[in-house]
Formats: sequence, C-alpha cells, structure tokens
Amino acid sequence: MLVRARSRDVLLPLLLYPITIPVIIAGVRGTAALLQPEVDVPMARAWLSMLTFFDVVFVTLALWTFEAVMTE
Amino acid sequence: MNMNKLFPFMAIGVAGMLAYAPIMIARTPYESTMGLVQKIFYFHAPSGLVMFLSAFVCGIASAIYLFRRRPGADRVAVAAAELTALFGLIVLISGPLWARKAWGVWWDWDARLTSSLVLWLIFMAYLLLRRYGGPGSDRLAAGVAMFGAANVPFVYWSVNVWRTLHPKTTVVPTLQPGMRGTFWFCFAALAGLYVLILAARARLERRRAELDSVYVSLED
Repeated sequence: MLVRARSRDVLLPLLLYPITIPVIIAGVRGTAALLQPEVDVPMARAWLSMLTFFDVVFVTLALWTFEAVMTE
Repeated sequence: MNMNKLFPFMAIGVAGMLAYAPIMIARTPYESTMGLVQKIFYFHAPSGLVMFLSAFVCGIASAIYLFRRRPGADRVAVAAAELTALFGLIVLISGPLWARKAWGVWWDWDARLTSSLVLWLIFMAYLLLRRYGGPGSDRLAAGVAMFGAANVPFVYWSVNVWRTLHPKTTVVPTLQPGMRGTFWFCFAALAGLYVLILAARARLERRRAELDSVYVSLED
C-alpha cells in the first residue's frame, strides 16, 4: 500500500511539469523582453497574449472538469 | 460487430497504400534547395498531423468518458493516448534527422519543437498515470487528456505566431501540385493505419475488461 502512495507522489511532478511549462516559458520570455535595455514591446505583447489565451483555455477546462474528475 | 467485418478489408487497403507510398515518394519531383533530404517530409508531416488527430480523439473520448461515464469511450481514449505517444515518437525522431541535414542542428528550442515535445510529454504523463496511478486514476487521466488536447491548437499555431526554424503551416496548402498528391496520399495511408491500430487496441482493451469481469464473477 505504501508503495502505491509513494508512486502517486512521484506522479504529481510528472503531470505538473508538461502542463505548467508553457506558462513558465511565456512568463520568463515575456519578462525578459520587458527587462532588456531596449524594451521589445511586440515580443512582450506576443508572450502576454499567449499567457492570456492559455489562461482562458485552461481555467475554463479546469472549472469544467473538476467536478467530474473529483466526485464519484 | 461491424468493425470486425470491415477490419480485414481496411487492413488490406492500408497495407497496399503503405506499400505503394515509397514508390510514390520516389516519383515525386525533388525539392529545389534540399533535394533528397526533403523526402522525409512525406513521413514527418503526416505523422505530425496524425499525432494531432490522435490527441483530439483522446481528448474527446476522455470528455465523453468523464461526463457520460461510457466505459467504451475510456477504452478508445487509452488506445488514442498510446498512439499519440507512438506517432509523437515518430515525429520527434524523423524531425531531428531532417533538421540535422536541413538546418545543421539536431534540435532547436523554438516554439514548434518545444511545444511538440511538451504535448508528447503530456501524453506520456497520461500513460504513466494510467499505469501507476492506482484506483480512480482513469478519471484523473481523462482530465489530463483533455488538457493535452487543449494544447494541440497551441502547437499547431506556434509556427505562425513566432519566428521559428520550423516552416509555417502555410507550407502544406502551397505545395507544388506534384508534391501535394504524395503528401495527402501519405497522410491517408498513415491515418488509415492509425484507425486500424486504434480499433484493434480498443478491442483488446474491451476483451481485457470482459476477462476481468469473468474472473470477478468466478470468484463470487
């Protein structure tokens, strides 16, 4: 039983990594575009719009599926 | 079942198409700058399209399983997830082989390549969750599959939004007439293969469920 509990713990980062990495990349690259000596506004805007799209899609999906996934 | 009767005919048709595909690829004219190297395109791009298709099938089947609780949809979702991983592997192997010759590098962390890898990782995570998640992991995995399918449009449009080494999606509709036929033929052959494996894998999963229920009723 303990083995199963531990294997579930290991699974969380495995799941979290590919799903959150686009957000992390977009955040880092967008911030980098804003903080460099010559501010690259179109680049920052492109990453920000990707973040927004990502947010809208994933928040909608998360709210939509939560009940079905978590309840019996 | 209907699919059982159809299956041998489809298998013969797809085998014929896959056997003819190399001849057709050999006959298509060379691309002007890349020459022979470009021929891997007829394998790489259709595999990529089939991977997207498979991710969508998995996402939709998972949604049906989550909201309608149909066990059949779950079996299709497992089969589709495994095939997404398989076709993703084909894309991720044929891509670097082509990139090494066309761009001079095996891999570049541009938007298309990175997002394709992330999509593949999501479906690998799905399969790991199915196998090691313990009881109740099937519905959790169905949620993951829906998130994976939601990623497909991002991967598809990534080349049009960012400057990437990877060609844009407009390459396919603007192909030369001689290349276009070959491309869609290869896509049809791989998509046919995909449907065949999907049907066979879902059937295997159904048999396994039947066997399980027989075991359970024997023990009772």
